[in-house]
Amino acid sequence: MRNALRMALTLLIIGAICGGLLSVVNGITAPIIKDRADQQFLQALEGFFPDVAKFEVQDINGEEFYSCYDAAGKFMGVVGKVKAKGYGGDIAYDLAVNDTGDIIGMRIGAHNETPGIGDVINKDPFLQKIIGLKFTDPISAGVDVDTTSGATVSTGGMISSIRRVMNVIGENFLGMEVEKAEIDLTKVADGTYTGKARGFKSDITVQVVVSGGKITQIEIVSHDDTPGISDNAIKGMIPKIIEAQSLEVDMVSGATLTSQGIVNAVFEALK
Amino acid sequence: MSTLAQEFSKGIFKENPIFRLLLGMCPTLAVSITAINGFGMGVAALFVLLGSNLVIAALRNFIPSKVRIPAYILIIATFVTIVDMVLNAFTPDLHKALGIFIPLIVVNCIILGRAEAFARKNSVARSVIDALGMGVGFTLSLTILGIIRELFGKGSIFGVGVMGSAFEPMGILATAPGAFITLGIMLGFVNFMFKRLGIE
Amino acid sequence: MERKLVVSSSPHLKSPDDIQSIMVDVLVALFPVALMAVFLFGYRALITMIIAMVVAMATEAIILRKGNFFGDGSAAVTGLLLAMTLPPAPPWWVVAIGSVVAIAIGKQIYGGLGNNIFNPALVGRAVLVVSWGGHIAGNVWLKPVPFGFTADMVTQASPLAAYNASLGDLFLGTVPGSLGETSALALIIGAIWLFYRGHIDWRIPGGFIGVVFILGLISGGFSMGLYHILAGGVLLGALFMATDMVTSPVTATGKIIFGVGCGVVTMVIRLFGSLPEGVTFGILLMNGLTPLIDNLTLPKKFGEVKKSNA
Repeated sequence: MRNALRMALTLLIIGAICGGLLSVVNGITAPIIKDRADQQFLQALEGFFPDVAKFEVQDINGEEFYSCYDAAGKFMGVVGKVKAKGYGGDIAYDLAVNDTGDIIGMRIGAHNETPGIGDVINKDPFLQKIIGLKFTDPISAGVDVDTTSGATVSTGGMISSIRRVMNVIGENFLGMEVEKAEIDLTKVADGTYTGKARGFKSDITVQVVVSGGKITQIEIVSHDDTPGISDNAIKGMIPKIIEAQSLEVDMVSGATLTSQGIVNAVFEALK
Repeated sequence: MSTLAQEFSKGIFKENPIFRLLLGMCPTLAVSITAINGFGMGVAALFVLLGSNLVIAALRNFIPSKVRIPAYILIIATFVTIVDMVLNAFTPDLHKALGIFIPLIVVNCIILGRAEAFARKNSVARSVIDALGMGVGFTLSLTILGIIRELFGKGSIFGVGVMGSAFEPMGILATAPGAFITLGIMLGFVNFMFKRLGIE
Repeated sequence: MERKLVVSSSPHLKSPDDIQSIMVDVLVALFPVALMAVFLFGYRALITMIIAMVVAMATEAIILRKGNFFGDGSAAVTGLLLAMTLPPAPPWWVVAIGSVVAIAIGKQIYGGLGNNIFNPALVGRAVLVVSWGGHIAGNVWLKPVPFGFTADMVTQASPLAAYNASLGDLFLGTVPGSLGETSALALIIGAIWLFYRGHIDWRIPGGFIGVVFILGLISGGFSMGLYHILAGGVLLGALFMATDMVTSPVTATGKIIFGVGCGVVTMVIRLFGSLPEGVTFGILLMNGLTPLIDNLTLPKKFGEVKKSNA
């Protein structure tokens, strides 16, 4: 009994001394650490907006957006800490957009792209293509921004993600009208519509039949994408779109570009 | 009984924690990417080892042997947390580079191993010398691994580029497999040299 | 004494094979593949193959301190196999480092031929891919020009990244790719020689290629199954690398398990991984499991009684 008491007491004393020591050290270091973290964050924003004096954080669909203001409280622009889908998983990056909707900076953070191949997204030629794009630009792979050959998936993923982020920023912070890739089927008259959009390496033409406010049939009129692969996209996407009666459907993996092409073509047909 | 000088040197050569005892492999493999990281990790571990050996040797007659392990862990964890906070406050870059491996010093075999095998049976002075020797041996080994991996994996030493612009770094040495390959080759080399020199 | 008398206990079986004769057979089997590579990619392919072989043999000669440069021929085979896995024209130092790594770290560090756990050529390639991915698997694939020995060539996406080649081109080899992987035809001719000489067993390539086909079929239909076999390094890996006697299991069941494992890992990397090709790591991973597979599939000794727990 006395032994057990002695053990408990010993541990108690050691624990108490350790705890006391730690709280003293923490008291000294905690303010320094916090100061530095704030400083670093402001510095990071200064990389995009040199005159930034304060910022506000807003969470939109799980991604953080920082509105930046100068010392006089004037709105300067937005920095989004966002993610794109790459070849090896998510690519985290910061996108800075000024108050008129121009991209003024981009910084790639953690990513898992193949070293020497997909990591071109973090190199100058690609960054230069992105910086300076405007909200009103299409920002679409193969239209106004080229993908890098050999790294189509990484760069293509970045480009479509940038378009998405631009839409979020435009809508929420800049008061811009965003053209939605969603169709209001109730406003589409019955009939047969034709639309065309870029797939993987060719234009895809589709014919869409609408009756009673519903998409009843989608037919691929012509395309020249890779046989065997694009077939999967066609077989997969058409039933998905008809079932969902919407263009918000998952792409067929392995044939993302063709899948996206089909969605875009249907959109073109019905808009 | 061995002299204090022997006590010190055994940690560097005969019982080098990395190349001879193969202790503390987890931080060794993970943070020896650059020379400065290896050195920083070594110094952090040296400080914790020094503190824990000192305190444990001083309290060796006071701590009941049945609860000695929890007592040691408490003491070691305290020193580790101090190191963690101090590094975070004053050398943020190193703190960021070492990351999770600073808190993990708590479970580094070298530290608990020296407490259990040495400090609890020896005087404060000998324990401090032992901690210094072991810590310096650990630091030296990590720094050497870091230098090799940084030189070929990044083309620099302590962050100073030395290989010229035409050099294309051998990326594998900066990754986990590179750590195993470098450590394996170093182990072979050190054992070969020890055999040659007749140190056993 | 003119004739050598062999005095030994039974069994009195003697095989005419020795290491050198096997290695020469492998070199002969690789000849059509090498010829095809030079036919498609010209002098660049020749230079890459020569550098890889000479550096591999030199490394081996230095480590073994032997005057005989060709030795048992295994270094030459390793060097040539390494070259087969590389793009047509990587920088010379990449090829040379690959050869040194293959021989020194892939083989000799374990105690030389017979003791290595991993296929040496693939160890060399793996180190190169991880270290200088841009030179090995980046934008480096040349569009082949048949008969164009010194022709200028332009780069093109490899069939495994772009999925755009026709099956016929893949079979003949007139597509961009590594030196030894483009032509299924040449690989099959080489493999027939090895089968004929009895150096390789159908089980490993059978399991490997079969699984690749089935998984390809599931991922995208019949033509996709064929595509996955013909594009990339599956045939080269299955016929020439996975069948390496030292690093693959010896038991019949073990060989099938080994081949199937290689195929599964390859396809998992191809379909879900961040590298376009998975043959290298598929085979290396299964090399590591070989002792375990052998252990699990050891046949029962004749007359052995199962241990009872009584």
